[in-house]
Amino acid sequence: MIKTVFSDEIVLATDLKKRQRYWFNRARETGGVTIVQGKVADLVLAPRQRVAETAEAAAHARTAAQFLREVITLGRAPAESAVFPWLQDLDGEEQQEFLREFVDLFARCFTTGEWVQLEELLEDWQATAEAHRNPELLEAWRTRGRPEEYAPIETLNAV
Amino acid sequence: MPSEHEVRLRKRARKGWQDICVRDPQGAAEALRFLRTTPERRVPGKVKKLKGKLKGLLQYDVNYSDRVWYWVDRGRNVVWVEYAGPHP
Repeated sequence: MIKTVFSDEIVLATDLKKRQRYWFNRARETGGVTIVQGKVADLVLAPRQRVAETAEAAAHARTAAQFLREVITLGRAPAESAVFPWLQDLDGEEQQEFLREFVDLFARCFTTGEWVQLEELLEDWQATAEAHRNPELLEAWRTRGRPEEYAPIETLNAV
Repeated sequence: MPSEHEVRLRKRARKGWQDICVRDPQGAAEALRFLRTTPERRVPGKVKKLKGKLKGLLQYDVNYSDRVWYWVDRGRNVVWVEYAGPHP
């Protein structure tokens, strides 16, 4: 189990004050140094980007853990999810497809540290769920591609 | 440079599109420009690619409430707009 988030390098607050540039560079190079003030070592000097990435990963991990607890530990159907309540608008097959894609992509994103794909996946599935609530759209999709039912958008003098 | 797409609107969606043009002319103009030039480009928070049984359908958010759903016929370079209007 990984418990080290920051390096073990520590700096006394007084030393940090004296040699700011050195310690700033050390923090950038090592990913973070711990600041000791008196006998307390509860602060860290770390690159902003690294902190942001760690927080982002933690937020996604929390969401995934909550969702997987719902569907695995508590044995709920995805449609009963409180984490992703919109899943109820997908049919059973789509819910399983979402589950597979979500778990697979979460694992991949956690490895790479890039979360854009997971965010897009959630966006796309939520949009899909919302679209399922639009009967007119569903009917149009079902009967798509009959050229006589379309007109060039230019003829509408829309813009 | 990719060629421009012809955009064809489902006749039943005409009213919805015209309403968007009245409510948000700038948003409608941007939407149309997008559909003509880069209809499959991913724009975070703006363009979504639907999944499951709706795979192939794309959603463009014109503004907070108005949306356009369409699909792209790559072979013919045509964008088929199936629905335009506020989300029900």
